[in-house]
Amino acid sequence: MNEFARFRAPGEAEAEERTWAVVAAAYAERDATRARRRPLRPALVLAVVAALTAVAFTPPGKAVIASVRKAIGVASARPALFSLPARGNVLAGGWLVRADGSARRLGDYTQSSWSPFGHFVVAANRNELAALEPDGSIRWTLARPDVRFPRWAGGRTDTRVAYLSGSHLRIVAGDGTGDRPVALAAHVAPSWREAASAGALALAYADPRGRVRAFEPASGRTLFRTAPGPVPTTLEWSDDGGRLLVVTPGRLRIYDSHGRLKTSVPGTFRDASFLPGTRRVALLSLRGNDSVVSLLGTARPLFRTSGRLAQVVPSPDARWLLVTWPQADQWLFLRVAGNGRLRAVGDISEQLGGSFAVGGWCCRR
Amino acid sequence: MAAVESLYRAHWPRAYRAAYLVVHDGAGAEDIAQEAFLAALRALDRFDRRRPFGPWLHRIVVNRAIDWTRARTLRREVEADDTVVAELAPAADLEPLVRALASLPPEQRAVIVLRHLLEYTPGEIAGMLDLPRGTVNSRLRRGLDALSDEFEGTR
Repeated sequence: MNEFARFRAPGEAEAEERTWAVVAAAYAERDATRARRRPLRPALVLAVVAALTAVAFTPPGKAVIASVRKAIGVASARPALFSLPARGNVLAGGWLVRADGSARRLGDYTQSSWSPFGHFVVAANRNELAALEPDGSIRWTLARPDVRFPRWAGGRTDTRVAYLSGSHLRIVAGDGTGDRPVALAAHVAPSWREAASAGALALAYADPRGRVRAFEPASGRTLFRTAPGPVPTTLEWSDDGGRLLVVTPGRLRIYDSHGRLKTSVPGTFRDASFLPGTRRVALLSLRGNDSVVSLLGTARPLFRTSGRLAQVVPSPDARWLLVTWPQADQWLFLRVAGNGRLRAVGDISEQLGGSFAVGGWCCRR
Repeated sequence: MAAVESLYRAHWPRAYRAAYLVVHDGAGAEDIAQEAFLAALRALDRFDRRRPFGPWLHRIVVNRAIDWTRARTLRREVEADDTVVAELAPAADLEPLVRALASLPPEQRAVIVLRHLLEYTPGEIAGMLDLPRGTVNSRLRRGLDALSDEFEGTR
């Protein structure tokens, strides 16, 4: 049995480096947390929770909570979204926010996303899918029940929109024709791999058993399918089509375009996204009671708070992260390069008619 | 940080190989070894520094690997068209041995890996897996017998 002494597992060196990045980050984080820890903090948290609980269910309590919300979040937040820190436009539900801070209401939509290059917007409300011009003009609509997660892909000759209707993944052409069901799907946004970047247009989605399937809609060919498991909360191809990010509540995985697992990181994740034009991943994770924004494989968090952050959306130039903080009614803009540079904007729901979920930040024009 | 890296570099290869030989899945082994290091890191304050780190880590790795294999068996997650784990094979002359090991129940794989890869004594293995020493010995004996049969059959 001494043959085992010669045994080397497949991919040993690569796995060692991937894991070292995670372990080093965890160790650095552990040290930072220990340095910041103060004995009074748990007592303070308990006191605040008790106070909020006491008032939460009474009419005067709601007013108190509203004022407490103002106090949560970044204290120096600007009162209005005067401008975005980078080029491009942000979609938030039925609103489009331009770089100069002007906001246009596109319609009564709860979710929206950009077409490639930001030429069009695809938006959804409960029973309607709509393709729009960025000025709000409607190009076409499609009545379908329980519409969610519209995603547009393609170039000049072949554009398609994938979306969920109830528990079915459906695909419709960019001109609104040829709508068809494709498969049963879990409630997570599908993600397109653009044709120009890595061969044919491909789509990744999760089925109800948590398997992620990547396939080419034109031919029906399955590129790969992962094993069953927890249903992902985020699926996203990198811009070059070479990596697929799959986030489940307890783990972040990155696959290559052949379905080979390249990275697997345990943790409690709320959101993650590739930085545009790169394979770097911006993360929003929970560590203890804190929400932490960081880049995968780096030790130092970009931002940390005991509040609950919801989304992380990179700017088109990959230099900023838009982080949503519904609890504080704020958007935060974090500089990726660090130095703790932060810009916060308050009263978002009032400015955007209650819209908060960001559908994308596009494009570099 | 340098001390942590030295510790990590010294222990990663054997931890990963042990996990791999129990689960026979590269991604699974990486997850298990990674989680074991993170668990060890979290528990570092409680760790008695007079004791060796290796057995402590290997105990976590092998127990998690057994759990992982049982869970996968229950879920029957490996499907015919899965290409998720496409990997290089181990050294060619060891491949029959590794394949033969994969045919054993995870509990037998674990004691063989602990005994013959990580070179623990049956008494130490009993402590790591919370088993009576007699159970370890019987699993070792049965496992090696089956491995021998299987190994001969694959030659």
